[in-house]
Amino acid sequence: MTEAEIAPLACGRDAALVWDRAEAGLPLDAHGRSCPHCSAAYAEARRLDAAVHRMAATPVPVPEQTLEAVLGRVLEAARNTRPPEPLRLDSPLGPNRLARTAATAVLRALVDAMDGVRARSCRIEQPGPDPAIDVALTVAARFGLDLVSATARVRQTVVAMGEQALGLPLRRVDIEVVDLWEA
Amino acid sequence: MSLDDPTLVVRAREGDVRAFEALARRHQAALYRTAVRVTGDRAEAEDALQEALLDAWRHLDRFRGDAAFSTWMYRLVTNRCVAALRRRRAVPAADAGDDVAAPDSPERAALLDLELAALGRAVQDLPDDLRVCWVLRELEGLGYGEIAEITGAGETAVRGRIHRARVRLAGVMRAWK
Repeated sequence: MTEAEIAPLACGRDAALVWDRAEAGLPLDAHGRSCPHCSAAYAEARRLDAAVHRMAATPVPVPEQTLEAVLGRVLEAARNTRPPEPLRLDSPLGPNRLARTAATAVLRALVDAMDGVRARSCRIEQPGPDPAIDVALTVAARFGLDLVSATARVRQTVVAMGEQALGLPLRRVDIEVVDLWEA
Repeated sequence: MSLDDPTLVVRAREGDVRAFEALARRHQAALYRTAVRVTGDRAEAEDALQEALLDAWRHLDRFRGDAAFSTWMYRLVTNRCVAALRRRRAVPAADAGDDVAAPDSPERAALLDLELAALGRAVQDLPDDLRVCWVLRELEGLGYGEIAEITGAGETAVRGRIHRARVRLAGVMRAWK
């Protein structure tokens, strides 16, 4: 018998199916009720299932420091990888730089604050010698939302408030709706 | 505002550590529970969870959106558990600190349930591949299809493993009674 095969009961029934029925709390069918093999397998499954249920219900709390330790290591790993090129900011006193992750966080927060849309990907390019940026956003929208006006609203907000918040002129804003969620 | 997993995954992939934190916070309980049940050891389970979450952070770009993030995480954590168990067995001197079924642990005392303890030991005695499938099915309540995705075994093989685990456990529990 191969690994995948399940020995049938003496009556020929699929033993795993009888077991699944017992676990799901479904009664045996007409054959099963009158068959000693099915009844025995069913009873054994129910017996084990009671103990398994208690085991599943036993709480296993996560040690408090686990997440903190993981995040510490994640931050360390992030520090050790070369960050993407920062964005250039114009300043009369000399060039300033803005981390891309900070800029994308600002733009995502602007979108998240709007009704019915959530920002997903946010990519910023600064192609020219001037500091103007191109933004490519993907968003998820609530099902039923008018997507044309929603994307127009997102663009308007990102252009107006993004420029204000980042101090960078926005030259182009691409918005793609990639998912819908049910309210 | 709670963001869904696909949104958090995309953000984390683009370097947003807070999005990753939200994902880890959301899934850690189920992953840790699974790791404890698979390894039978809380310290080992915590290590496996930490390593699996770091694996996730490092390899988020490999996560294909066609499966649920939780499915992918279950795979990473069970892989880490099985690797830890193999290492433990490769070192004969190392005492397998089975604190889930330790005779005098507070957990055990609190349970006051010898049957549950016997079941715990029987689960630990299962072969790794049977135990992983059984834990995911019976304690985490996952379907055969998802367990097949997690383990990389076919759905028929998963069904067979779970059934053999059940029969073994029932046999042990019968003798114990």
